[in-house]
Amino acid sequence: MAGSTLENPHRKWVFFALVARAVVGGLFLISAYGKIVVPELFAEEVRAYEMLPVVMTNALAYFLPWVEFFAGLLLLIGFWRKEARFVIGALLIVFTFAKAYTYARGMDIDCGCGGGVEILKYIYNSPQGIVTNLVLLALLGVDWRAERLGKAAVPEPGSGVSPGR
Amino acid sequence: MMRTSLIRILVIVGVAATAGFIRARDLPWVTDVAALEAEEELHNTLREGVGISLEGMLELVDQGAVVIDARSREEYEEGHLLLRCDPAVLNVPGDEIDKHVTRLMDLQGLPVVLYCTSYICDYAEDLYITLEEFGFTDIWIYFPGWEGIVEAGLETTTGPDTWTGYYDEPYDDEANTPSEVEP
Repeated sequence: MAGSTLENPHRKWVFFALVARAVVGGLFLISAYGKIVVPELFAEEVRAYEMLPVVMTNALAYFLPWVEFFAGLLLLIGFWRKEARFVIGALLIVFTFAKAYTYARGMDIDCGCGGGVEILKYIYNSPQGIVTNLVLLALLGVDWRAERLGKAAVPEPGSGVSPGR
Repeated sequence: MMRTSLIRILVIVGVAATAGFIRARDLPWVTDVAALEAEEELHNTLREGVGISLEGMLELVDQGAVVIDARSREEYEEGHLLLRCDPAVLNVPGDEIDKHVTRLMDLQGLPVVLYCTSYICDYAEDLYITLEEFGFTDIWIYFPGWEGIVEAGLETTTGPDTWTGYYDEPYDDEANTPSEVEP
C-alpha cells in the first residue's frame, strides 16, 4: 500500500492516542471505583482539602466519582471522545490546583482513589499527584492532537484533495 | 457543533448525578455539619487526653497491657504488630465491636492500648468509647497506628486473631454473630 492515497499518514499518532486514552481512561475508571465503593472515605478526604463548604461534601462524594467513571469509560472506548476529554481535562485541572494548594499549605491528604492498588495510591498522593495529573493532561493533549490530525487527513467529499496532503 | 458538545457534557453530568443518586446509601446527601463538629471535638479531646507514644505503648505492654488492632479483619490478617505475650495483639474491628464484647470482658482491669490504620482512622476512638462504657478505665490510643508501627520497623506478623479461638471457625454472616469458642 506504499504511496497509496488511502494510507493514513498519521498512524503513529493513532497508536499514541490509543495508548493515551487507555492510560487516562483506565486510571480514571480505577480511581472512580475506589471512591464509589467507599463514598464516606472520599467525603472525608474532600473535607480535608478545606476548599468547599462542608455541607456540600457528601453530595460531591456521591456525584463526582460517577462523572469520573463515565468520562473515563467514554474516553477509553472512544465514544463522545472530545466531550469526555473535555470533562477529564477540566477535572484534572481542578484536582491539580487542589493538590498544589494543599501541598503549599503543608497538608498531606490521601486521595483514597487507588482502589486498593498501592502503586496507584502512591502516584495520586501529593506531591506525586501533581506530576501524575500533569502527565495525564499531556496524554489528553496527545489524544487531542491525534484527533485533529485524523480529521485533517480525511478530505472533504468532492474536494479532490488526497488524504494527508 | 458547540451546542452538541455542550448537550453531551450535560448528559455525562446528568447520568453521573443519577448514578450517584441511585447508589446513595447510608451517607446523607446533605452533610450534617453539627454532627461532624461534635465528632471532631470528641476526637480532639481524645487525641489530647489518651494518645500514647510508641515507647509508651511498649512500656505498657511490658506491664501487661493488652493491645487491640481496631482495623478490619482483612487488614489485620494481612499484617499486624507482633507481640510475644498472651494474649497477643487482638483484632476488634471498630465497626464490629458489639460482636467482641463477651471476650473483651475477660480483659477488664488490664490496661488497653488501641491502634487503627493512622490518624485518619476513627475505629480506635469508637472502640475507646465502647470500652469506657463497659467499665474499662485504663485505655490508651496509639494514633500513628499501623502506619506508625511499620514506619518504626517493629516486628509484624500475619494471620487471624486466634485468642479464645475467635476466628478458628468461619465467620457466620447470616447469624450476624461470631462463631466464638470458649477458651
